[in-house]
Amino acid sequence: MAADEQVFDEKSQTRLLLSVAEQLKVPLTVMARHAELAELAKQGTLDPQLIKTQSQAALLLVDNYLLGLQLLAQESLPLEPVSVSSTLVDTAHIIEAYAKQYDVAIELDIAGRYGPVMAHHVGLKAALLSLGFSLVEAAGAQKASRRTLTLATHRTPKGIIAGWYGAHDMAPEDWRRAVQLQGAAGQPLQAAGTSAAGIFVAEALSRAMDTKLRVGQRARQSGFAITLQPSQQLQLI
Amino acid sequence: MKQLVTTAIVLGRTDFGEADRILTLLTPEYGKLRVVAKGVRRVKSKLAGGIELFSVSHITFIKGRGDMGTLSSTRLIKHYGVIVQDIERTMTGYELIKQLNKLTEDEPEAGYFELLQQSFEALNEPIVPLPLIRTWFTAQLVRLGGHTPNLHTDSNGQKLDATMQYDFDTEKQTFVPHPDGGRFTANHIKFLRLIFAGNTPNVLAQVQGIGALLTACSPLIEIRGQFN
Amino acid sequence: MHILVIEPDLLLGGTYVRALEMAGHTTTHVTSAQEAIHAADLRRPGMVVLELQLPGSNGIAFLHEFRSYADWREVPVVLHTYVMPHIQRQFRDVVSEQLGVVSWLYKPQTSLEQLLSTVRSHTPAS
Repeated sequence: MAADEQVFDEKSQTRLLLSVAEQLKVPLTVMARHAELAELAKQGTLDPQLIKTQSQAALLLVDNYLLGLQLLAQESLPLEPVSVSSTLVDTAHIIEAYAKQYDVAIELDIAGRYGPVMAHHVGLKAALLSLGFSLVEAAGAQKASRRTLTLATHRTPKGIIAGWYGAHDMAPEDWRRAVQLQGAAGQPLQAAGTSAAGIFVAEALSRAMDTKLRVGQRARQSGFAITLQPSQQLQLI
Repeated sequence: MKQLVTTAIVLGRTDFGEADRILTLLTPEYGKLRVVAKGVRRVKSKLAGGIELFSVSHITFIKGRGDMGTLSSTRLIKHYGVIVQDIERTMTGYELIKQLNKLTEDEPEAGYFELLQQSFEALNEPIVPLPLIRTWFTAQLVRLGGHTPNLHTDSNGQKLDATMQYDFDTEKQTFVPHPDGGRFTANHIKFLRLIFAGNTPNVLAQVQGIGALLTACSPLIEIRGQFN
Repeated sequence: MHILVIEPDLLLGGTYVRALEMAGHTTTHVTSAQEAIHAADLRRPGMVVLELQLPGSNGIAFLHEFRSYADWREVPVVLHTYVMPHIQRQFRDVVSEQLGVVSWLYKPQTSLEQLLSTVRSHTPAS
């Protein structure tokens, strides 16, 4: 059974929770040790921006995880016309400060004009943010030449694709194995030394929105993307 | 001097002088080989590449006069990268390599190469449980050593009966009929036959009730392994 | 003493580096196993502080490679990792004996003071 065909059952929920719990160790440890360093140094080494970005990452992970579970529990999700380009711009803006801490450059690629897509606005933004935070953390551990992530949208015959590209080389097979390792291994993704929970949270959110998170390719970069359907509503006017 | 070509799995690496490395390789045609990789400086020593652990590679080498050859080239065929994504799978992989390194002599033994390759395939597949891989590995060592237990007739020389229950006599290495409640049933014996027939862990992982079957059969295989 | 810090998180690595340098050591911080081999080749470390979970590899694979070089065989290694203690216990004896790990620290519960104290206690007498 393909990774994206697996039912989101109790076992999947447990694995996602394990993954999120593991991931939360990272920002909490970063903040705890940073505070301790400031104490040891005794002179103004506390960086408020670090505390802010790390706590934001942790809180967003928890919120997006909870949102994913709540949306999955709903029988049907109300979809609405959502501007993909605005959502991408918002996402990039929120993640910018965190990316800067990890010396990762964020690029936006919204070439072309796109009408609205039918999506759950909050869910879509949460999915893109979750992906972004996780990929920024992974990109931070790569060599300097590979520390650029692109948040992009483009049109395909299957719909409008929105996603993150550039941190690592990844094939659909790698994603299938990562899903199987989720919650069981400390590093289910090759590129990340952590549980990469944000990517699995994005997967749960995509599932809740009745779409799929896939490993995709764009301009010879691999990444993760969600397929969205254009809104037909404006065509009725 | 003739260049020889084979596939190889690295069992170990040590440094040799300032710039050379000695690789201990397991190959299907030449058994265990030791080759010198000349001029491979540490800076180029890659944890990813044709001569890393948990990989199968094509190698070209020149056989030396003694027991050491010289490596000419390598080409990676497959790297089992998922293994290193899980600490426990990594540890199991190293344990299996270490076991085989101890066991293999410098004789051609294609079976050991295939055993290690299939082990890597299994370790690389997250749904294949580690206890299955370990038990399966021991069973294959037993099989390759020519000590497969009798899975066809009982202690009385009668064909094993699908309706009968059995215990296993470790001294005589045979199933003993125990109609009032032996530990082993037809399902256990079928499972053992599958393991000792050389089916891979990836295939065995599909068997229904694999967990319980493994729990019951592992002690029998482990004991057999001690006789190896 | 020169300490090689192998820590994938840039920020956490930076914190450990500053703490170790405040304690009088020199450091190199790397985020991957391959970079670690390269860094050790450029400057032999007196000690390695190592996270087990590394991008594209892990600390065990790194140690096998690291220990295969004669002049790195005696370098003490402190494991400082997110891998939980009950999982560490499963292979601790084997890894300590075969791969020369002198101390096992669970990162979320190890303060900077404890890390510095561990480094001090395994610093070879000059």
